[in-house]
Amino acid sequence: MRCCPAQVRYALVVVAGLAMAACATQPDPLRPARERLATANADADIRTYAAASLAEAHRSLVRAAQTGDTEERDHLIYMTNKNLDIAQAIVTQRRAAQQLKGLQTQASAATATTAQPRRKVEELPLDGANSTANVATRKVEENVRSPANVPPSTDPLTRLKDLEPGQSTELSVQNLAFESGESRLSRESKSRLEDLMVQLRSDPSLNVLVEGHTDDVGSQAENLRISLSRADAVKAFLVEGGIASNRIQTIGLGEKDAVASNATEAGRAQNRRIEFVIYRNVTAQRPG
Amino acid sequence: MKSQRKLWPMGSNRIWCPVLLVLVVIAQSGCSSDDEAKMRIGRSITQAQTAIEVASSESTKEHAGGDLSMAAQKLIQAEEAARAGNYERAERLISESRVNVTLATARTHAAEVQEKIQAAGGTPPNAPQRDAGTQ
Repeated sequence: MRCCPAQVRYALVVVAGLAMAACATQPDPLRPARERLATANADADIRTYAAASLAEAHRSLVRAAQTGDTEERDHLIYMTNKNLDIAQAIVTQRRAAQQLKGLQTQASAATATTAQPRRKVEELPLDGANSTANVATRKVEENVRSPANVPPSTDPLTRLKDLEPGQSTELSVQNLAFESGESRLSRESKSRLEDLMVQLRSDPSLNVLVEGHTDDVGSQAENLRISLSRADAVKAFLVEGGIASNRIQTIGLGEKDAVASNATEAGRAQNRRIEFVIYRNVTAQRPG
Repeated sequence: MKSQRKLWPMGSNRIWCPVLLVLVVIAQSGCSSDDEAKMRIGRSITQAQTAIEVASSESTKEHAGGDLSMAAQKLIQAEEAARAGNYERAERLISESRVNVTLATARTHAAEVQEKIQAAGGTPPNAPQRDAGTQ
């Protein structure tokens, strides 16, 4: 039996070749998302602070590559891009929080009349006379203040009145309990903060930066969210108590600034804390 | 002798009646699973709407209004898809709405910290932000 005429065979080969060429030039719809994901993967901050969003973006892209449904593929590419946007926003917030903390430190140090660094806080009896309250101390460089000029006091809160304009000090409270999640302080926690509130109320030139910290249990993105939410809850409590909102700023620093090892429960308890950076306005007069 | 009444149909009805019965049962089960999907989608849409309302603070509207608008638009499209019986498409649109709400919240947090930097006299770090709605 005769096969197809030669002209027909040649025409079929040409058509097949054109079809293959057309397929080869079709743009890969996944390529832009792949490139964005590769760029995000190369960013150490995104890998550190937005791991959950990055993982979700990766999962969506893998599923997009596997599905044959065009509508499903487009949806998954959309989700990939949005999760990458979320990751970028988280990192932006984190970097800005670090920068803000640095600015606060610089502002308190740069405008002091004498170059006095932060004062060391040894104890924080926020629950009144009970000296067994959980306390964490921060290192300071040195204290150049002459002992003769410092009124003797064992209570760090009462020493707030000794802050010069532009000076700051740090207080730390561990294991501040929150009700079912992170939105509200427990009654016991509120009573622990009462003394601080009294001090802030009596001295309007004092401002405070509330830092939320967590241990390393859970994802970094979640810890970031929880730490900020807890700092906001503390701020809300202080505002309810009569402290002006513009005197209080909040930051969530997640698990980044650990003060103890997260390998033990005791260390994790120390890391679950709220820190207060209390500073006196540069233009303020020190109360007499 | 009276003829006994046959309980089982005779002739061609003997085959067709059971077949029709089976078809009715199948159609009925299809209807109930359709109702379940409709209820499930309805609940998801309500939850997604609540998420938009919760996220719609003044600060979020100011800093990420575009993302919130996109979330609301996706939800409207999801409702339309659900009404048309396209539940798969509706579920996709609901998840796209939710991711836009999350993005709006994340961008608002970042913007608020940047405002604090500006208030403290600093310059916020620049970060590329994609416009809402781009893919």
